[in-house]
Amino acid sequence: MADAISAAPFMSPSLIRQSLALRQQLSTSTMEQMTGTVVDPARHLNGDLAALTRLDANLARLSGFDRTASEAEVLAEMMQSALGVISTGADSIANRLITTESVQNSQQLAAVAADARQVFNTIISVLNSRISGYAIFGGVSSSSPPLPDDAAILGDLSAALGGITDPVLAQAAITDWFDGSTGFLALYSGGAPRGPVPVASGETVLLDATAMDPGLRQTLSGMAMIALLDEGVFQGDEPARAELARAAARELVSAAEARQLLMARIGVAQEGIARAQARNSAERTALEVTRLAMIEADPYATATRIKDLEARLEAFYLVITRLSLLSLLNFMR
Amino acid sequence: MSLTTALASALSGLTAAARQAEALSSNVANASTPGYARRVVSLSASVTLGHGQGVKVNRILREVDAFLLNNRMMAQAAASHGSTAAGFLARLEGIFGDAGSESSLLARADAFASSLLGAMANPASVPGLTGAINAASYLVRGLREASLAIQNERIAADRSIASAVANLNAALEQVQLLNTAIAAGVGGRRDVSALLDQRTQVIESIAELVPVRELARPNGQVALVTTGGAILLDGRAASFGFAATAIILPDMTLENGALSGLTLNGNPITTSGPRALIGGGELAALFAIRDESAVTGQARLDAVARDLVERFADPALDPTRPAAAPGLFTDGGAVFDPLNEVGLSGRISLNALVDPERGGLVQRLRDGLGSSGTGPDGNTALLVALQKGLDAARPTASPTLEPGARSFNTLLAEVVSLTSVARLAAENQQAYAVTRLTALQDLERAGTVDIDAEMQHLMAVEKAYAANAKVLQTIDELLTILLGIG
Repeated sequence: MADAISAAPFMSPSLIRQSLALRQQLSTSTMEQMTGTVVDPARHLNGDLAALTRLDANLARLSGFDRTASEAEVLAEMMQSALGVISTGADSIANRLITTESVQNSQQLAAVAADARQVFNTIISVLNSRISGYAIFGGVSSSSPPLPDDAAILGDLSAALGGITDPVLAQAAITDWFDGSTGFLALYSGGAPRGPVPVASGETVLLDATAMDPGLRQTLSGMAMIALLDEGVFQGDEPARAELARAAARELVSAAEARQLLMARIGVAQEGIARAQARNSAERTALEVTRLAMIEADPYATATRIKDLEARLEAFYLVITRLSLLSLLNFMR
Repeated sequence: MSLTTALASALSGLTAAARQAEALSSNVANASTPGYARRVVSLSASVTLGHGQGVKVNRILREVDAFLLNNRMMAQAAASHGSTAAGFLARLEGIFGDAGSESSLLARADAFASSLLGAMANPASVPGLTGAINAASYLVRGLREASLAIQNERIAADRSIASAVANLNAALEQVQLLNTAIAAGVGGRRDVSALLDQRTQVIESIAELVPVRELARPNGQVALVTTGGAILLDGRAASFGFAATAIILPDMTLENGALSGLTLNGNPITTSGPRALIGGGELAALFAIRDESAVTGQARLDAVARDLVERFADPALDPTRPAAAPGLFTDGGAVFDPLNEVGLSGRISLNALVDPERGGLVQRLRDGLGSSGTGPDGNTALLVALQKGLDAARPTASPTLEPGARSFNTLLAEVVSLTSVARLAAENQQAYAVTRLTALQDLERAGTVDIDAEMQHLMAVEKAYAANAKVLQTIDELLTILLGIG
């Protein structure tokens, strides 16, 4: 004989269990209505949590991709704007050099050379620019600027030229200095080009432009040829100066093409980033909707169930009260 | 003379009514007492003074349906077993973490993956790298705490077994004593109802722990036999033996002798399987927790830890690390030995080389474990490789799980799912057992004290007493008249 809660004839164990079950169901339904999701997802999904957990994993990774994509977006933006500044400066100098007058006229040439010196300074400082503490064109070594200042570069270059008097040889020497391993490369303190970075599931983006990029080096080579004239190279030798200026103009024109290629590559990367971001955002929405559908407690069904349970519980309590009053004791003397 | 006989009959009637009232009052007083059987007075006609009919009280009967009682006690054992087993599995599920909770193992693993991507976004950022290290550390802590929680469950089960065995032995002794007292009472024709009630109560406490069947023996004694066939009491009480173990570690099992098994009268007995002598009650469920369910849970957790350690110990991942040195996750600081998988989740640790709290550098996460942490700070190569390594489908080396290639997340999800499935099955079984128990309790209740019925009976007894008293009064008057003649 188990513990009888009441000696009343109708309070059987199964009735007591029923009332317990009713109240438990009521509290579960109330909780489900408040949170909007089922209380026991495992039971709702019959113990197979694989799909739900995969969904959660993807959502977590999406938030990580958001960060990598937005950082890549900013970097690409800064690279393009830097290249824009470089192009503006270099193209303006190149245009002025194309006209024969500026080359022939020594005073005009001197003026162009002086401006070119300033533009060279601008280009170097643009190449050394930083965002959120790391250098844009420094590759993987981003803590310090990749290049020394313009005076140091030109000084090193002049020293390498030594006493060359022939402008053709000078042009070749300057080009070699920017291409070789002992000249410009020795001054470059940046690192290897950046590797690919994932921005969406299965997609990576590559922003590997550094200050050592061929297009940039060629630009610097052309600008250096002009800028050196301002530093006193071939001083007094007007034909030599004119010859060097013409060589510089040719170099800058072909450099412009190489820079275009670089900007196009970065543009492709930017497109990739934008696509990835759009894809991530759409994926996040879809995943969140699916997740909700998996463990959602239908609000209409829940509300109906709560009403029904409340009514049943009230009826139950009423019946119990009435029946408990039905005792023979009340009717005996 | 017939008048005297009538007097004697009336007196016996009064006595009978009084005894009935006594039984009735006992019933009403004990209406809610567990283990109480309704008293019924057994009457029969008797011969008084040579001729005439009086009423004799034979004895006080206890209304007990022995068949129903046995069935209900076995259902009690099954319900107890079910709730113990289901309760443990629900707690085990909670140890792994509820789906959607941020502190669940799955959430911690996801946070680690996400933090690697965050570090990748700006590898020069020390807070970014520190965030990834913290997430790794959080995951490791989660595994260790889960391992500790499982072992604590085993310790709790072990302690419960010890106290259950002590209670069982005490109860069996008590039943033996009660048997003797009842036999003496029956022999001396005394009322032993109260002793019988007490004995039923003690046997019920035994029935929760071990499924028993009650067999009748002469003179109101009983023998107790388990459904598996072990004799717990037949004249003499059997004695169970068990030694509790204070500290339980993952590598301590019943098989290797580090944990105590159950002995019956000095002989070791099994508690699970088809030949088990005491299978089916709470005691067997506790043994199942300590020796099977918790061990399986620990093994699965260790498989997860092993996958994590081995994944990041791949020599192709980090070229700066010497081949013999431990990877990002270590076995207590050392390299993982496949022979030593048991308990790995309790020993898993983050490599000290990357942990700033132990003199490491977070930069080594980016530059490699063998580096000095001063490498190119925009380098994403290793971070990308680590994150890819986490998500790559890799053949699962642990024998605990089915062979196959899984990513870390898939492995962890599978382990959690297996636990959920087991919990659901156990809960279904428990629901069935409880329903059966409730149905039997309902049937049994039909035979217990119903106050309304007792009150009706009381009215009848009242009438009977009044009638007999009236008869007595009338006979007294008759005798007075008779004695007054002449």
